[in-house]
Parts: sequence; C-alpha cells; structure tokens
Amino acid sequence: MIVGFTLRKHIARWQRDGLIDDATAERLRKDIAGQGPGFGLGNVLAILGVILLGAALLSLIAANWEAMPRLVRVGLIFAVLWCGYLGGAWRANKGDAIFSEALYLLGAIAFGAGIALVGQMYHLSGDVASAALLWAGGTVVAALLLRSSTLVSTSIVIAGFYLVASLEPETASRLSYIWIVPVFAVIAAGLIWYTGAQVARHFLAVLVLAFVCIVHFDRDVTVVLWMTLIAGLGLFLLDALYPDILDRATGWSIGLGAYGFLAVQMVLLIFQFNDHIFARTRDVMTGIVILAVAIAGLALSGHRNLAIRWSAYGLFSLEVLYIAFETIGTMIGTAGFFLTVGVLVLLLAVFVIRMERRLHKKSLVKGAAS
Amino acid sequence: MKTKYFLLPALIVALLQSGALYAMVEKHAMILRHGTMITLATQPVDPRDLLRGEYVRLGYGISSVEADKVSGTKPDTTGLADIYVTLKEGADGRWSLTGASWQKRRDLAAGEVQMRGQTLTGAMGAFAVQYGIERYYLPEGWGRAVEKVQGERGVDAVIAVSGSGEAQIRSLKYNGRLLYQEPAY
Repeated sequence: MIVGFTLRKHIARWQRDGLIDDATAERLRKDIAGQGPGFGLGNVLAILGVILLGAALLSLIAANWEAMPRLVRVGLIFAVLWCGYLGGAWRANKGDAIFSEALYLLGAIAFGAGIALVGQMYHLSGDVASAALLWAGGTVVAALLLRSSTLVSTSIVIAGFYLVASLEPETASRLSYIWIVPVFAVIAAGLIWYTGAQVARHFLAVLVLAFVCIVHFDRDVTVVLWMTLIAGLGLFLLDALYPDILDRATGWSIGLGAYGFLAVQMVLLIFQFNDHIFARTRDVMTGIVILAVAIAGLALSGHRNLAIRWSAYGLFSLEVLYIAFETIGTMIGTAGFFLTVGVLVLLLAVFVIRMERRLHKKSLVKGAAS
Repeated sequence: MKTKYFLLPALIVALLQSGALYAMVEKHAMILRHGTMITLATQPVDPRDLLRGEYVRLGYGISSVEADKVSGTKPDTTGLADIYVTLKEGADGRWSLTGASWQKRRDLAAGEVQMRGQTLTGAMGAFAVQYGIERYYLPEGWGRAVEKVQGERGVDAVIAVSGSGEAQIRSLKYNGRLLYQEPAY
C-alpha cells in the first residue's frame, strides 16, 4: 500500500529524531501491516496475468465471431455469465473479497453484452434505454442476492447509462426516466446500506446530481432545482450543526454534507448560467449569494469537512473572477484584464492561506475540546 | 458454515439473467414459428448503398403511409409513436396496405393482418414508418448474392407477424425462389 509505504518512512524518521521510542515505532509498523491486504508485486503480476489471458481469449473470440453460428455465440455469452457468478460465489466462499467481486463484475458485463448481442443477432427491435433498464434491473437483483458492493456500483453506473440513453429518440415512453431514476436511487440507497458499499455512495450522489441537471435542461422545469437547493442546504446544515445525528442515521455525515453543499453550488451556478444566457438582471445578485454560500461553507464546516472546504475555495475563486469579468472586464483592455485577474488571484491566494491557518487552529481547538 | 453460502444465490442470479437472455431468443423464434407469414415486395432503398457492412437495407411499399389513410386519434407526442398498418393479400400473393390506425384495431376483417411500426407524428402528407424489418443482417458471403438481385427489383421478403403485430423477416425470395431463410435459433 502506498500510504503504508509513506507512513513507514515517516515512522523511521520520527524514530531517528527521537520523537517516538522504538517500542512505539514497532507497534505502529505492526498496525500498518495489519491494515487490509498488501498490494505486493505478486498480486500485481497475478492481475496482469489474468488481464493478458483475458485479452488473448477476447481477441480469439473476436477473430472467429463471424464464423460462429448464432447459437454458439449465445452459448459463449451464457458460459461467461455462469463462470462469472458461480466463480465469484466460489471465491466469496473462500473468503477472497477481490476476485469474487471481479468475477461478479464479469458476470454483470456478460449480461449487458448478452442483451446487446442477442438483440442484434435476432433482429429484436427496441430502444437502448429499455435495454439499459433490463441490464440495470438484472444487476440490482444480482447485487441484492450476492450482497456485492461492486455490483451496487455497477448498477448505479448502468442506471446513469439508462438516464443518458433516455434522452433520445423522442418517444412517449422515454420520459419514464423521470420517475424510474428516483425509484432506482431509493433502491440503490437500500442496497448501499445492505451491502455496506463505500464507493457506490459517491456514484449514487453523482447520479442524483446528474439527474437533477438532466431533468432541468431536458424538461425546462425549475421546481426540481429549488427542491435540490432546499435538500442540499438541509444536508449541508445538518452536517455542519448536528453531525452526530446525521452520522447515527446514515453513517456518512461528512459525505452527505459535502454532496449537499455541492448540490447547492450546482443549483446556484445553473441559476447564474440561465441568467447569463437569457440576460436577466439577477446575474450579480446570484453571484453575491454564491459568495455568501462559499463563505458559509468555510465558516460552518471548513474546519472539519475537507471536501466542503476545497469546493468552497473553488467556488469562491471562480465566482470572484466571474463577477470581475461581468462588471469591470468589459471596460478594460487585455493587458488591464490580465493585471486585474493577476491581482485578484493573488488576493484569493492570501485569502486561502489566512483561511487555512484559521481553520487549522479551529480544528485543533475543537479536537482538544472533544 | 460459510461455505456454499453464496453458491445458491449465484445460481439463482445466473439462471435469472440467462433466462432473460433466452426469453429474448425465444421471442424471435416464436414469431417465426407461430406468426402469420406475409410476402412483401421490397424496393431498393438506394441502389448504390444496399449493402452496408453485413446487412442489406430493405424498403417496402408500406414504408410510407399517406396521412389520409390513417384513422384513430393521433397521440399527443412530438416524437416517435406507434402506428398499426392493416395488410391484405393481393392477387399475386404479395400483401399490400389497406389502412392504418394510431390505435391497435380490434375489428380486423378475415384475411387481414395487422403490423406495428413506429413513425414521427410531426410528418406532413405521408408518414415514414419503420417496422424493424428495414435492416437484415446476413451471414458473410450472402450479402453480395442478395445485393446482386436486389438491383433487379425482384426480391420479396417473407415477414412473420405475431399476434401483437411485431414483425420479423422470415426469408428473402427472388422470383419465388428461396434466397436465404432465417433460422429460428
């Protein structure tokens, strides 16, 4: 593990400088060694070997694909699918967390490839969105029955694919994504809780945010933005003020707070974008609200929520530059523009450095108090 | 008791997913086996562009449906919508359009077959309808043979139409002679 490697270097230095005694250093090293499986050269070579074998098999199949009768091709897909799920279950029973998840993933991919290939080989008409939906549904069932966190992530990615595929062609049924994606999100949240999936939480958060954007721009509805703004603000404030409650309820206060903050930013930026495009006058007002939100993020959560801290810096800097563009950018020439931007960026740098010091102090104080 | 814990769920998942795939294969086979066979004369779509990759492109007389022939209430969408065409066998054994409807018709006369297609509702004058039989994938080597005769406008397509109106190409014929037949599996 990379982190372990760097830590070991630090421990050696601390030990040399007399910051910690030999016994503590030894205990720390043991603790690192006990943290999860090592990522040694042997493992890397094993994975590389598997990838190479897979590539050989794939090119062999691809070269002879045309010559194979249809039924043989279907049989081949079935074989990969069964190998994936049963092989994964076999590895899971042996307590192998890595290869079991990898094989489950192979099974899910075989299912998706099967849907596409059978549809093409047997001239079945149907749109991409319903094929993606079938794929996502099958993967959800697999994730539930096999209690696989990787398959939860996979099904969320496939649902994202479904969301994008729903945008065209224009049919009456394509708009079902408006209720299917929220229902899916609830199911996925349940699966995340059930499987204890970690990475999938991020995927789901991104899916929900993408859904909000797509509904807004596809159907031109604003109410979904307001709902997101309120929900995001709620999550952000909950994480900022009552992180214990949110943590007890979800176990992910930091993440939910950060994604809530991100949702608020996203909605405000969309408002500003729309104002900009349609040249309404609220432009600068929205800008001031955005600056206020960035500062609120730093003040309330900046000392303990790193994701909020850095996205607040980013938002603040972006917004300052944008407002400068809008108000004085049009009046000055190129040289003057670069001068202004330069000065602004330097001021922002000073702001960030001072803020970092304050937040660092604040987190130390909080840490000592608790 | 950790062993064999995941084997049964994995078996169920594999059965369900391969079952779904098999259902797709079987759907195609069912239409070919139990569908009503109708013969349609094909029209070259674009004589220079018949063969694209491994599939032939086929046009039909029913690919264009005049607006005044369509009955029923037009669905209130801007995009693609279902349309049902009614076909009847002519004196030469080829089938042709007798009418079309936005809704599925329940009052078919004897000898009539209903086929479902999709069209853009916004069209004026005539609707361009797709039935899912406009492209036909052929095994390697077959494409050229079909393309050669296709130019002479003598190719007929035998279409299997299911009870719900879904269409699948059963075979391609040239002057009554079988060119290529689609296997059920």
